[in-house]
Amino acid sequence: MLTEEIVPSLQGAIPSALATVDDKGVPNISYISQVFYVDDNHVALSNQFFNKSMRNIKTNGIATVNIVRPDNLNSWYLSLQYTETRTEGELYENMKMQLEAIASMTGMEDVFRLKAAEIFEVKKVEEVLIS
Amino acid sequence: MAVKLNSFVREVLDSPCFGFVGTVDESSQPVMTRGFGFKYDEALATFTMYTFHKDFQRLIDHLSEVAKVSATITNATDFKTVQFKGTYRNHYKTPDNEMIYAEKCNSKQAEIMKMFGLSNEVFANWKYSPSVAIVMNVHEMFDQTPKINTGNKIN
Amino acid sequence: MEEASDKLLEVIEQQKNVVKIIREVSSKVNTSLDLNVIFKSTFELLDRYFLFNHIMILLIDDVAPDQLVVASSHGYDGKGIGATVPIGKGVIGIVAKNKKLLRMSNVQQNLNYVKTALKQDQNSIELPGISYCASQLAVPLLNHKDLVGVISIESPTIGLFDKKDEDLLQMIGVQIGIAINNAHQFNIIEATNVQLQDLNENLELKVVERTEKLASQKKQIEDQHSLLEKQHCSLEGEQLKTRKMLDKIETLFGQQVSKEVAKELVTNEGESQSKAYDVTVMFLDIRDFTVFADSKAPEEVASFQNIVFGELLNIVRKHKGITNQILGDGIMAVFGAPVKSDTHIQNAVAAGFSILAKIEELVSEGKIPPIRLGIGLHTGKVIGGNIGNVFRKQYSLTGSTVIIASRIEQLNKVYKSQFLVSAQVHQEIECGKNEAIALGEVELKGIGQPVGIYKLA
Repeated sequence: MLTEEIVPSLQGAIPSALATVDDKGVPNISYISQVFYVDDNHVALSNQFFNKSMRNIKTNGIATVNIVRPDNLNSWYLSLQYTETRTEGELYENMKMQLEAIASMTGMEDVFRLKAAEIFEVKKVEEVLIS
Repeated sequence: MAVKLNSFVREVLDSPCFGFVGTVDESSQPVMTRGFGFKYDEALATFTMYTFHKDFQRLIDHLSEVAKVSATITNATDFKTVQFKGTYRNHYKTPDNEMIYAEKCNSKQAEIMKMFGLSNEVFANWKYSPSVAIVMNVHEMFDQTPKINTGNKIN
Repeated sequence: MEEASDKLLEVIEQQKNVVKIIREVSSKVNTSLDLNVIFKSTFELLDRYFLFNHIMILLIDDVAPDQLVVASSHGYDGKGIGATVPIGKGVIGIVAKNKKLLRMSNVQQNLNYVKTALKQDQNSIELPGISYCASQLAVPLLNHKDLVGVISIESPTIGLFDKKDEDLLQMIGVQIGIAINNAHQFNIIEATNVQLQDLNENLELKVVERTEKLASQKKQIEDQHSLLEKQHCSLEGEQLKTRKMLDKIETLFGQQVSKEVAKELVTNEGESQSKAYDVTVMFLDIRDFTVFADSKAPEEVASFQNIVFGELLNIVRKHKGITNQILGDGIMAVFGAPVKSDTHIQNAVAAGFSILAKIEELVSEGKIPPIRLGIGLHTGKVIGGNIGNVFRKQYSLTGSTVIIASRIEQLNKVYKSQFLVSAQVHQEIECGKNEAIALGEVELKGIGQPVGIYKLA
């Protein structure tokens, strides 16, 4: 699902929009700094701040993200299905390291920590080319 | 049902922002589209997102009188974010005068993105036309700026 | 079909490039022990192949191992060298802490995100780097499992580095890490050696200075004593005085001067002023004595000292010289004072050769461990102290002749020799003259004119 073309969009170069739905059918759109590549059919989100979004996801497991390639601004919408939460492993450690690198610049590495890596299966990919 | 703007929302509205507007499809999957420009009408309490041709159709198909709509704008540099929640009002082909306004909005973004290292050519290649303006009735506003207690309702 | 083969060609080209890069790194970086060459080659390679033009190499701070220091940089206009990064802070610090590489596609924006969340306006920590860093790739430089440092590449362009860059930098990082570690260790050893040498030199001079100082302090006390002594002696009569002086001189100088010299001293004891002498001054040093002493038990060191110094004093005495001072790892001897001699130069040279032969003998007999000496001779005028004062154990000798002889002795380290003499000595000798090697005119520290130096051994 995640082709070589798409992968550069999964580096956090341009923030991504995350859309979820609550149990009343109300959409919720927020921004996240990065969608992480797990494998060709999975991505991960770092669980830090999105209360409503996380609540929605834990309720129905559904999410849509928009990811953008920084060199040509082409973007993709990924329809996601939540699969699991990880608090260990290589992916988690790598995400943790990135967060630590940033947080340590503000001196807040004890406060600003990766709680968990939320793993999603990619169900559908829709491409949007800007030109 | 005019919803007054506070200074925080005004500040974000005036800054270079990324924007998305979205609703939910029949299978309860959220669907959204990017807006390259936006406008808030205080008198009507409506929020308009200017979407571009390659992207809007996926949303239009699911907009109806009963559609619940949310739109979020986020400042490209400091991530201050506002989310508007409400209902679908109408949509129309963006006329040229509004196009100029929307492009001006977008050029603020382009300036910021150039600072990040994105090239001029990339923005020059972005074809906005034909564009569709999607208008929503705003019932609630939320401060979605990333922080521990994000999502506080405004007003 | 064509597309597939095009893709394949592209992949093959890329692989070839990778091999080329690795090979270049091996030949340029790994073959050098010079840190500057390693840094320069690394920057040049990375810039050439990848157009990476903001690169920093940081090494663990020798003094404070919980931080890294920017050792070299490329593309920062020379700024930042010496700047520090605490381990655990920022991209570089985290890479150092975890010893894993980190690639970030939008550092500044991520930072803004966090700062907004924390309601901070400024970074709490100043870290070296470009002012707007979008992409950063930081690779730990490892020597096996140990952290040597970090190499960091920055760019203001978002998403510049990809997985291929990561993989390649990882491989290069390992090679650079090993090369830097080797060069670093080499530098530390070199620096330590220089320090030891300096210390050694300073030590010798300090001992000479200190000894002279002590001598002059002693003079004051001794003057008082001598006054009392003279008064006492004059009461007892001339003969008693002579006998006492003879005894005293023999006791004090017996080890250091021959009986003939002692007699001469007594005969000339009426002289009360300093005199000018034509002398040959000898400085002798036992090489690497401190190093040797460190590795031996104190009794062994004392025994060695007794044997060696005993022989040295003996030989000097036999050649009509006097040992003026014992200088820790060596001696200063003078030939031609206080008893004048027409053959002081030849005596001094003969003494030198004799000493070298004796030491060789003692080594081959296993009586002492193998040691090397450094002997320096110079001849000229000195002002000799008053020998009338019987409590003195040494003369005071002043004149540049003394300093020059000392400097010549130190040159043995430079020329890896054991016996160096000045041209003034060389021109007067016969023994060893033809075998001597001319080393040319040498500038000596603190001496205006260069001095001609000859190597006798």
